[in-house]
Amino acid sequence: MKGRAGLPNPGLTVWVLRWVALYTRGLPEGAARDRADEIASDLFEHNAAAVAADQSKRATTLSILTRALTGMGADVLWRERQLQQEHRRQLSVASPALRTRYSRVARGAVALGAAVAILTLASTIRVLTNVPTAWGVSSVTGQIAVTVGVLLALLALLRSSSRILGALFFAALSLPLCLAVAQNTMYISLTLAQVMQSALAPFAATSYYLAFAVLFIPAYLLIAVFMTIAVRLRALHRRIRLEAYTPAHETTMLY
Amino acid sequence: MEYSILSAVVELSASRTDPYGYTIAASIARADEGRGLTAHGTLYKALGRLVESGMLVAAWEAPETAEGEGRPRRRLYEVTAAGAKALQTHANEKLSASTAFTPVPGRLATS
Repeated sequence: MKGRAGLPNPGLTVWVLRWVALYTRGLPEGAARDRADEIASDLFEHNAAAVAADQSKRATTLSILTRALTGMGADVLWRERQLQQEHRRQLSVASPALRTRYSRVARGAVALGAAVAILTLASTIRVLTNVPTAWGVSSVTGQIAVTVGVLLALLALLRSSSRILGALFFAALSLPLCLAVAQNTMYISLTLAQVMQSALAPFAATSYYLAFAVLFIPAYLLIAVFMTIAVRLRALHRRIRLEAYTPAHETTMLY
Repeated sequence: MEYSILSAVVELSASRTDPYGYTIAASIARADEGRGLTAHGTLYKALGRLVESGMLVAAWEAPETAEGEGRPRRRLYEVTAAGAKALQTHANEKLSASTAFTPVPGRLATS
């Protein structure tokens, strides 16, 4: 995509069109092409109008840059919507068996993610209410950061277009989550802290590192489960996409 | 934003100017003085939404026309009957809201 000769802002035109190419990547061809052509036309007309009005190059550059930058949020939201619509369309033409499998995995992922998020939120509330106020918020920063991360991961998991990303977020957050909970166990529940201490004592007697390894078993399990979900969702997405773009009589030959 | 776009498309069509992205943005900016041109993302997202909801129809102009004038082709918009009706309803609502809140001289409460 080259900037047009004779226009005041060929460099800026190229930059804006690169941004368009970036956020339309992976979208249905028609939607991506329409958006790219429409922005290319807009940039050309904007430049032409500026030249006709004898506007300074600086003012035109600023105006185009402002329009591009302030619209970036809307561009990303538009992309999300296009992806969701495309996914829904592909799912609607997928075979009933594939649809059932996909919705089962998606429901399971959302249920597990919601359970983890609720437990995380509940433990954070306990920590915030039990930690002495004199210690300040800095002492629980890790717990708060992990909670925000988990809630964002749940949000991603709830959206069909970012479900795989959500599962990967959960997997990535499992270790920090486990570490934050382990650090603050005595502020979450004294009973839980005692149970953990007695359960880890035999391992700690052998090796401090072994006790740590055992302490993180829930994190390993969460990583394994969420990674499995991400892999399965990806495989199902690919099969759904394949079915959507393959004539009905050929899909039976694919499996 | 949606009503501004519908209004701009109607005005541009009435003045025999092709309603496409840039002219729509320029028309909105003219109608609302002090406001700059609408951001790319906001404008085209709203235009897409209006087309999806049946308020506008969009059609790409013939490539020959654009090639003949040495510019990229334009996507031209037209207000549908549903869009015109929605715009009229919005205008009526705005009008009744403004008359409802117009203070009548001499009828203001004094106690």
